[in-house]
Amino acid sequence: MNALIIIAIWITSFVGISCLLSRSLFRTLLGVLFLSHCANLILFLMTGPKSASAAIIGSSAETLSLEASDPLAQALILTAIVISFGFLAFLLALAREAFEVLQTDELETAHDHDHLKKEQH
Amino acid sequence: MSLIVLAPILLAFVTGIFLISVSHPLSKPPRWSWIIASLSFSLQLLFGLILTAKTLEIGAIQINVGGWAAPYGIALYADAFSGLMISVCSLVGLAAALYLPTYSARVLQLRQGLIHPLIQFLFIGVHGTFIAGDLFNLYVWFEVLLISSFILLTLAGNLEKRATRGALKYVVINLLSSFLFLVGIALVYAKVGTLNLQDIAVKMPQVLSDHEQLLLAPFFVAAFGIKSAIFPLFFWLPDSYPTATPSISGLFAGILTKVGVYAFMRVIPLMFAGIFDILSPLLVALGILTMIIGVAAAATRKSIREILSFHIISQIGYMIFAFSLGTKAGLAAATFYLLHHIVAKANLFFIGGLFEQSFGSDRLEDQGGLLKSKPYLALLFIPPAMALAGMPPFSGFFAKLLVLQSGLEAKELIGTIAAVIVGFFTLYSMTKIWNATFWGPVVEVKGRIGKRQVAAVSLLSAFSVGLGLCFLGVNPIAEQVGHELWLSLNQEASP
Repeated sequence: MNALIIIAIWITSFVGISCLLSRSLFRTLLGVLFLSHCANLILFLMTGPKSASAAIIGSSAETLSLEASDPLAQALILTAIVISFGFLAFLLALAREAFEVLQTDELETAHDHDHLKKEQH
Repeated sequence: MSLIVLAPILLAFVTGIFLISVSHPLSKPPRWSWIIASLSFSLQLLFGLILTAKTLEIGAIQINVGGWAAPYGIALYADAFSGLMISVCSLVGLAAALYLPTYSARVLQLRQGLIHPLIQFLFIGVHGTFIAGDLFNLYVWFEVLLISSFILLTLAGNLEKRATRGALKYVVINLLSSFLFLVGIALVYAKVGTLNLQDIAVKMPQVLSDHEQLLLAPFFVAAFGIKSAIFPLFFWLPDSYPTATPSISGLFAGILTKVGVYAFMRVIPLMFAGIFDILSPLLVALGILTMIIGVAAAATRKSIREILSFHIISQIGYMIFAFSLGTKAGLAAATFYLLHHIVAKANLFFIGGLFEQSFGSDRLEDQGGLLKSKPYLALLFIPPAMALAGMPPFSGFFAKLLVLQSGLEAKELIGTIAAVIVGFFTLYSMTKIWNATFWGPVVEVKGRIGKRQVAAVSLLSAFSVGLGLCFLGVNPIAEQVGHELWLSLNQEASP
């Protein structure tokens, strides 16, 4: 199980970083998405996917049993998911506006230095 | 007690919610927004000063949120360093709230109402970062800060291609920085089992060998390095800061990168105290390179905000250099430099905005003769410009003096000489701006400058002068903060 998650982290980080570095804006967004999945998987792996039961204290017990999964880890992953979800929503809106303004999907070809050029009368 | 610590965040939150509820997105914001915002920032400044005074007197204040005991729950940790940072950043926020024009032609109509509340939300994140005692809590406050800064940076988006492109780069690179931070947090939690900073400081050397700590360090150095804009991670800054409106550029320039430096100064000594003598030469080298490259690039730029953006990078190099020395003098120097630079840099951006308003353009060749048309601007430009360059009696002179002294004491001759040379180049850039803007043939002044804006700039200029004149009073405070940070570096502070 650990091996599968490690392979998943491997693949998502590779895809995420190569998409992040691409010329097309849409692929950059996909890269961000993949990297957030990668971070969540790392959080999941680092905090023990091998546990058996839910992080709830049973009615007869006083404290959490030792096989229960780590509740702090679940909190961390949830927070990270929610934050990256919000960011991705904003980034999509920004990308849409960028596409309307720049009229192209590729950031670098839309380079204009007209703030440095003098006005040609 | 906890009220003093939490008051700045609560004030920013309440003000932000109130302002956003009275601003309808499709109409102009109410004309009195700036009064509410300034009032809020003044109160935040007041509470920051009270917090600083209290923590200087009784030491750090630790609050366990929700009553959960320290290593298990989230802890808020406020000491004199936090108090100083909250105060200075609130001062810059106050100036920004005064400086913002009631209506900006560069921002889309339907976004005008967002600026004041968003700045308040930004400050929730900023103040939160300064009192975070828990690594993941720090991450969350960073994200609050980040999302507000994204929106503020894109306000001018639909009107300018540069702004959109710059904002996209800023967003993507900062998301990468968040990713690295999160992975670092995951690895730390997996090995050390706790996220409380003070607890990590105790447990880290027990659980991890030096080699393993050295594997963890790059995540945090890179994450905070991207935020602080050190070499070679600063390239997002000159692409994005010049494209925003002057008021927002000034706010970011003064605050956001310094939050990154604060995180450096807070987290690295606590977490990596054991390997700090291995990290130190690398960070010193990065600091020196940052100083030199920042100022060298600034010398080639022809637009005010681009020059100033590269100067941010160069001055960050000073702070990283002083901090990486690891000595008490170095940490005190870095603290004082933070106080000086936050205000001086924001002020310079604001004044640059006044120049742009006067002449309609940010480029040096479009300016001229302001000494004849508006001589009072010269009086306002001198304190922050000379402070940045390091001329007495302004704050920058003493800040640079402390950095040079700590460099000499730690026998880092290359860094000290580089710092002196970079200081001369900074002076060159400031005189270049002065020359282009104030001397030369008079260019027709196209725009008005508001009295409120002059008031905001005077406030910050007065601070630069005051910090320099009151150096003998502030130096002991900086030394105490440096001493506390040095204690955390040398593992003598037990929880």
